[in-house]
Amino acid sequence: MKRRSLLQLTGAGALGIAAGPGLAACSGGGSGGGSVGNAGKDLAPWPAYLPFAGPQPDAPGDDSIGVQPLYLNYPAQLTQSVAETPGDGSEVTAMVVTYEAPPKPLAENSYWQEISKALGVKLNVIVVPDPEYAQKMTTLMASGGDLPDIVMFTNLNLPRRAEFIQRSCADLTDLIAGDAIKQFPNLANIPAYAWQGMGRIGGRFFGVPLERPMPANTMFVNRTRLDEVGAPVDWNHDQYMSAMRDLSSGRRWGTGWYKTLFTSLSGITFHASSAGAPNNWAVRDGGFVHTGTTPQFEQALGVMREVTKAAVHYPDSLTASSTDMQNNFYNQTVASLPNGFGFLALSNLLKAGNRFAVGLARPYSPQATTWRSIGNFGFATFKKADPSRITMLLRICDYLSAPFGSKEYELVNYGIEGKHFTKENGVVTTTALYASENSATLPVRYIGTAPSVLHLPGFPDVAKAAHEWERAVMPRSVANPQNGLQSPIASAKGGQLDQILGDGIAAISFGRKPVSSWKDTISQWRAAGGDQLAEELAKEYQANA
Amino acid sequence: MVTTRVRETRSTPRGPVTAPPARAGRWQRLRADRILLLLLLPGLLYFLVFHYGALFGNVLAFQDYVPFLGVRDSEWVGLAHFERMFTDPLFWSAVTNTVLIAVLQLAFFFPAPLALALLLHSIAGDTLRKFVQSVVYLPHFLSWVIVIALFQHMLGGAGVINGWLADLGVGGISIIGNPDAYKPLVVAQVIWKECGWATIIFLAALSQVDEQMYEAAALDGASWWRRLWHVTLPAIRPVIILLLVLRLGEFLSIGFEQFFLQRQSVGAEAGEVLDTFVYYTGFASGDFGYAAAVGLFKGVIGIALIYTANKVAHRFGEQGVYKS
Repeated sequence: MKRRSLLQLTGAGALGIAAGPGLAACSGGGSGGGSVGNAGKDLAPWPAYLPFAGPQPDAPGDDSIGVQPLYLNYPAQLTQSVAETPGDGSEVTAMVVTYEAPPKPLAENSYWQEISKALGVKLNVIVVPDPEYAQKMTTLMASGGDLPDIVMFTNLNLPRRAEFIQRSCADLTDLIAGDAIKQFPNLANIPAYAWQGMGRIGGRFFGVPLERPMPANTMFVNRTRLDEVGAPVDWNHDQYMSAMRDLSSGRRWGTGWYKTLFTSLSGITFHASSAGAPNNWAVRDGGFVHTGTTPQFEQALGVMREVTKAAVHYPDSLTASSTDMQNNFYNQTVASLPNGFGFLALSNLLKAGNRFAVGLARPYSPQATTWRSIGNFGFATFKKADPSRITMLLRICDYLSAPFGSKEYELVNYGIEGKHFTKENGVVTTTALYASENSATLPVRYIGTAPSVLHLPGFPDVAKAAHEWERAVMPRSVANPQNGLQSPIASAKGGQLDQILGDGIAAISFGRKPVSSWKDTISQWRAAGGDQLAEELAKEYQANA
Repeated sequence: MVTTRVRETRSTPRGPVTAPPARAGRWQRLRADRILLLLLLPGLLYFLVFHYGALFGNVLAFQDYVPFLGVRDSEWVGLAHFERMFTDPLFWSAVTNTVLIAVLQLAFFFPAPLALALLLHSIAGDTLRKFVQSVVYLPHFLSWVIVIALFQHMLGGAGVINGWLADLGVGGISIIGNPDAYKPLVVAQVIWKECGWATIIFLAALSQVDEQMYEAAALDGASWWRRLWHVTLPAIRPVIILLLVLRLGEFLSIGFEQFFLQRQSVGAEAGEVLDTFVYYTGFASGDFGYAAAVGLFKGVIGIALIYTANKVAHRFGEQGVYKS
């Protein structure tokens, strides 16, 4: 017994570092690193863009600057966008992230049955809950074993993701590059920015992007309360601060952050873009300059500190989860909330109900550079197989990417009429069954998705205000030049580099360190790989230009 | 037959090691004990796979390990990770935090269950004692997520206590998210959660103390304190020393989840400990080789500590964890 205790202890010491090397002994090959870059490679042409001639919008969109078409009513006439059933009756397994409870089993899930039937396959899903996503994907990548037919990647910076995809996933280039995409009309309807945000690996295509609109991380506001305190829609810094002060009293606060915002630049995005800081990077004289090194960014750090000094922020902003803070927004504990643009969705508006109007804050300065998104939520990749099977899997993505105004879109997004939703006078109303059977609980929306439009049934005023916000703000928006570029250091250390910046922003925002300490954070970031990252990106940028 | 032997062992804990049985008898003994050996098997397998097997993972510390290339195809880098480790300020900051928290835990968390056990032991009513015992065990079964959420809801800036203080018009207290309060806070959390559970071994030891000794001491007019000092503590001293030596071996393993969940609220300077450092460099950043080197460093310190502590225990005439 005594000796065993000792051995147990030494064993326990090593346990912390065991990463299961025995499992990872996969077949040999090159070193994997370096070859994911696009510099010096033959670059496959971007897939052609053939926009869908959809229903007439109430206000038009503009792809080039990120204004979405506005639809106040649901179209009366729907078009058929997919000519024939995509599947061949075989079994298809997809691994996708989920933010919801697991789906009801197939036998009890009429939505799942209908989707399987429409796709013409026996569709299985492996749902990965968001909090476990990084861990599950790292394990999948490390095991190097048998992949599911479809593997969805979010934009989370998983270590050496590009190398893994290049090595283990199907090369789609011959099927989708250039005009080849035309055989999948709904994929050809995905705007260029979504493809460019995903980028090429070694000059080739390995995925199909899940489009997201260009507005990125945005400040959502409780417009009703802002109106109560007389905050103007177009405001300046002082008006912003005074509104925040007026909104904070008792157990209510002007704004609230949550802890995951401080794993990267997300917590400061609204203030940095208001101050006119570049979107992550600026390209100057062919070199990459990080936004954190600009005076505008330091100015934004000053505003962050101003907010916490005035105590107009939810005090536990660094311990709260995003769900907690969203609930604080719904129950009006906080009057503003930084979140992804996707937060502007019907399901969330229903939670606010008619207690208050959800709005988007405009940046509070005329030199604002609103940061554009990467243009996608992630992308779907496929297990290596013969071209006919890959074509079939792409057809499934094509079906699920059917645009607004098509019959396929209706099935995927709303379910079966009469069961999951009803239509009346141009308004789609979802039923109680929809709450448990939809494209989020059975996350097919992460296998393929339609280019987004502004359509918020039951909330026409919110949709109109959002469209006005896009028209006012997006013309001055800037893209992140890093989007779609490959860099070995970003692939290996991107998460760590982001964390250094997030930690530094939190330390200054919450008063643990002065704004002047930011230069130390930047030197730490540079030494940890930031400088190398800038160099690699500049080289990649040249190659892609 | 089996029970007899167990009883023998217990009655002579420090007895001489019995002479090995004759060779012919060995097979017979194995046969006789086959049920016990079978019962041993799952535990043995667990240690083989998850402890001894995992030891081979230490080769990662000498490689630039890429998960999908595996150990075979990853590049060997010699001692590069260790060189980097000794010059990495983030690593040393994690070491400092870990040691500080470990010292606080040793000073406050180690004696707490002993005190609680003595208190429980002195409760007269059997039913009452069992009830209190069950209640203090309960927090052990709560996950860290819940314990931390509880502390945050009580002590947080928007929490219950600050709410009361605000209602009274008194200034708030800053505990959650305050780097200066972080270390006492995490020690308080571990005491709240694990103190009751840790009394189990002490209570078992206390129940072994000969009642006659207490009676004799009481007859001689010894007060409660004197009985505690001269009877109870000497009787359970081997157990205390054993647990202390074991604890020292795990000195740097102060836990992962508790710190992982709270690191963000105070930042890396105050909140990073070795286990979270290994997690962030290894799993979050994919720097498995470096993380393995840090883990190996921790393991080596653990062995050194347990060896030293055991030597010291022997010097003081105690049995320690094992006999050398």
